[in-house]
Amino acid sequence: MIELKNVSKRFQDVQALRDVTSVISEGEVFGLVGTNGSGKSTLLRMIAGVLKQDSGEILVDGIPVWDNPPAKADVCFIPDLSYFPINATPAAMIRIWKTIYPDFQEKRFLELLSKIGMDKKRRIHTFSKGMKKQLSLFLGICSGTKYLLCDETFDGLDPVVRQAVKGLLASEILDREFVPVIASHNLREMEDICDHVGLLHEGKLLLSSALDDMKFNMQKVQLVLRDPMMEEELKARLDVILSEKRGSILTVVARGSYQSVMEPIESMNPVFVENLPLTLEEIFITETEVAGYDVRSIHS
Amino acid sequence: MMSAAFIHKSQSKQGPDRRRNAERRIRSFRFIRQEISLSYWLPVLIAVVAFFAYPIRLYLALNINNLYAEKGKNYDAMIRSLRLQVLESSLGTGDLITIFAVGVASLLCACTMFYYLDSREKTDFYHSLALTRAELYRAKFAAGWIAAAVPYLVNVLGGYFLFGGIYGLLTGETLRTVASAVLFFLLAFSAIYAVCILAMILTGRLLTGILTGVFFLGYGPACFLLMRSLILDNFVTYSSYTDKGSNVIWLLSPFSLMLLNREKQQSSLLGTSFPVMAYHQILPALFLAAYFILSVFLGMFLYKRRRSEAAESSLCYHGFGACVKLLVSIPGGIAFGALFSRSADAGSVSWAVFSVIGVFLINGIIEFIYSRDLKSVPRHWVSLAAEFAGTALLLTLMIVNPFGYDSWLPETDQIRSMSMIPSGGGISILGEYSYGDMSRNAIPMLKDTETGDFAAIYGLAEEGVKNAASAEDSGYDPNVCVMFRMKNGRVVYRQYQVSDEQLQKTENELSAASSWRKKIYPTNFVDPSAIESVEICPWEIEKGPGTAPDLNEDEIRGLIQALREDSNETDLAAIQEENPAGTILFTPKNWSEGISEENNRVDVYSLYIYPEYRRTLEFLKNYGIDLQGNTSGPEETEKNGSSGILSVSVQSKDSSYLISDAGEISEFLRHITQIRYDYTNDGENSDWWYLSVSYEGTQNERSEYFIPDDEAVKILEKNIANED
Repeated sequence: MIELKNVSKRFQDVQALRDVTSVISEGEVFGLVGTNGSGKSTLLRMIAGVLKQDSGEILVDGIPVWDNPPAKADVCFIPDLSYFPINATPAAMIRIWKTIYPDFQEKRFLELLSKIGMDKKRRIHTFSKGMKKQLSLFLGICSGTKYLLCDETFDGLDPVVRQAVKGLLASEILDREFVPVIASHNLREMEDICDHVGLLHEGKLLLSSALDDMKFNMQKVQLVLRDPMMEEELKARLDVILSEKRGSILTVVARGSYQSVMEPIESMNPVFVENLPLTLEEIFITETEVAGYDVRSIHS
Repeated sequence: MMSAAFIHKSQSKQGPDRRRNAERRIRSFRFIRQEISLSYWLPVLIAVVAFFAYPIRLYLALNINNLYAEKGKNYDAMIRSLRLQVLESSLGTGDLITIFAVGVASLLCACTMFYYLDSREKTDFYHSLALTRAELYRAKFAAGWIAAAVPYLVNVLGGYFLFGGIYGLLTGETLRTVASAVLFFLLAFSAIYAVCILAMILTGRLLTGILTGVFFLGYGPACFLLMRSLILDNFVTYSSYTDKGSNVIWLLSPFSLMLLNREKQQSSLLGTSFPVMAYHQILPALFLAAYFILSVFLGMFLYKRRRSEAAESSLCYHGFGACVKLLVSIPGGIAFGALFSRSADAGSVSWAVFSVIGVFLINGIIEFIYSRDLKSVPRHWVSLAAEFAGTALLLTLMIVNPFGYDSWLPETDQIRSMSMIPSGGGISILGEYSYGDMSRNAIPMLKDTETGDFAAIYGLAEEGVKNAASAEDSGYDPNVCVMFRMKNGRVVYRQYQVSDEQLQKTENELSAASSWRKKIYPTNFVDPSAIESVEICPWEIEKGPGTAPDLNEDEIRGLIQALREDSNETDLAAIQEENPAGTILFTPKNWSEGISEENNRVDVYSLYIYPEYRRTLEFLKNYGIDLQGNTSGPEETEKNGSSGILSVSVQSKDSSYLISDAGEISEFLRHITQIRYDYTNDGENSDWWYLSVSYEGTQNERSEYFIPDDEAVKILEKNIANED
């Protein structure tokens, strides 16, 4: 389990993270989503022990991670731009990885390389950006560490490899204690992979919960009321996050279970009511809008 | 029960901890190996350079079998001696190639091993590894060290054992020389490498890392040179010879410490103004070790606290940039100002103006290196203002001389004792002696010759202060060094320019005391046991070349004793206007050690023998050398013929002359006045010339100073050999 307790980080004039508290538990895939510059990479780099928090605590299985090899040994970090030594080949990376990660699964790594037809003796600097990403992911998955931190690693992979990687992550979770933590902008992808999502905006963790809980506790309802004057009364009875009216149709996004949201609506005897499915993207936009990140103001 | 349970618990906890630590150690070793193999080009490059620098160079330098066409009886011994010299110069601590290679290799290794600090992705990779910062520092340090040290060791020791074996030079002494040099250079490399790593840790870009490394290695000595030069230029009574602090320059950087051993051997690299301190061989090693330990601890301390986000930024620590700017731009600006105002031959105002311009330019360059944005110059106006203020303060101290340094002269009732020694320039009979390294010998000589009867020396100082006030900007050469011992225990040294008459008068008065003579006459510091042989030359050139009496060690001791007693009985006034009876030339047993008895107090290889030297002349007479009765005053040198002289060659500033006709030689010698060496410093005899004479039947030549009359000049002009 990775515990983040009131973690803050500042880069000179920029407050990168503010008081972030969350838990990344075993047996789940943690997705870290957020706006640009929200602090996702910073948070991952801090969990990997690269950056030191200004305040707060980061514990990996109960041990502080900063400058602490026993904690760091359980974490493999794949940054958005991976580093490969000059003239290194995948074969050379095996030697390096074996030195760094004692449980590195060499046989599996070679199998993965052969499956995608990657030559282990070819110099990595001749690889495309996507191939380098694939290589980084394979190295990370085969490192044998409990936690794998992927910073926008899926971006740049072709759809086939993306699906393959998803499968690999799933099989790793089944085979051993394995907790991937994935930061990405690709919310559709995250929705497919992640069990738990943390939403960062301007350095603050707006929410962190299981994706199902998130959907369970937020409802999007389209309705038409008989008396438009009752709209305000309805809004007052609901924990409305967003509301939009087009013609006579009112769309409301409100916090609460299906029952707790639908009961007040139905009590007003609407002409029409429909509970719409919420996507992660909608949750993201909704939550960040509430936090002041108004997407419409950007394109208007 | 409870304690047993506790012990059991702690033991069971220690077990896995110990195993984990052992695993981490093994992983660290593997990591070092991995790092070396990733940067394999570095040891390969160093091995190639070292291969040419040691085995190949040794092969070429030692292969001197056919050095001379004629092979005499000592040929083999001479060749062996030459080979030993080659071996020592190539593999010893004074080898310039190794010195510069160590500097370059240190910087190269530090950049190669810690270059990851200048990039975010590389920093992310290394800092996410399951190693502590200290472990990573140690592993990286070790990888770079091994990459440089192993190829060096293999090549040096391989070259030594291979060619030393072939040429029979494998002796305990050569092994000691090579081993001590290897250890010294490894220590120097470790220290400079650690300093360069420190520079890399303090910065976040390769360029600023390299510049900071160069800054650390060169700043101390460069600043010291600048400040010393400014002090000498602006404080005319500042005594450079008694400036004990001048030796500090060698200690200010691990690189200059490496040069110290070479300078000790060569005494020329940085010029004559920086003589080498008297030091034990272990001193540079101790200082290098101190630099090494300090840099490693500081490096590790800072690395543990280094923020990874500093990658790609010029500097890692706030405030460090402003400090560097202040430290570089103030001396840099002042040097810039001094350079430009000197080349324009302008005064203090232009120096100040150029200095301010220099500070501004250097500040701009540093700002640009830091931020690649010149807009940061006005943004950082506070540090720029501090730089201007610091420059103004230093310039004020130098130009305005607010503390009256040059006009300082205590009241006589404040002084306990005083002493003086001539420090070159102007006439002084003591100028005939070379006191060797004045920066080393001036203080002991001044302390040895202190006197409570200092009226004459005080008069000298008064004249010096007066001259300093009137000639502050004239750049004259001081010619006397004075020590004041104050009643409060303080000792002050000053250097003055005084008139020749005043200096002579003071010297004559002081030399009236035999205690003073014993402390300052160079014969008292000649070590007879260091002399291989002596040669006696009559004063007059026509009397032929020198004669080398066959003296054993006891006889040489007797001769020196006679010379010592004679000179100690003779005051300077007695021989002031006198021509010597002859000259005694010494051949030391070991040229590099000289013939000095006490701490190289004197550096003489010849001394004049005066007619007053009764015991000496008597001693020489017993060996068939009669110098008596052949002397005359400098103005009336009698010429007794020139038989036996093959040729006379004369060198002037513009031309060289060669007279080989016997008649012309005789005529020429009749028209010149031979003068003593110390007379060459006399302003009245400033038109002296220098000649060399070859004699029949001997390869020995004599060289003397002389003043020609018009006739002599005409003869020379007829025999011009070469016009420059």
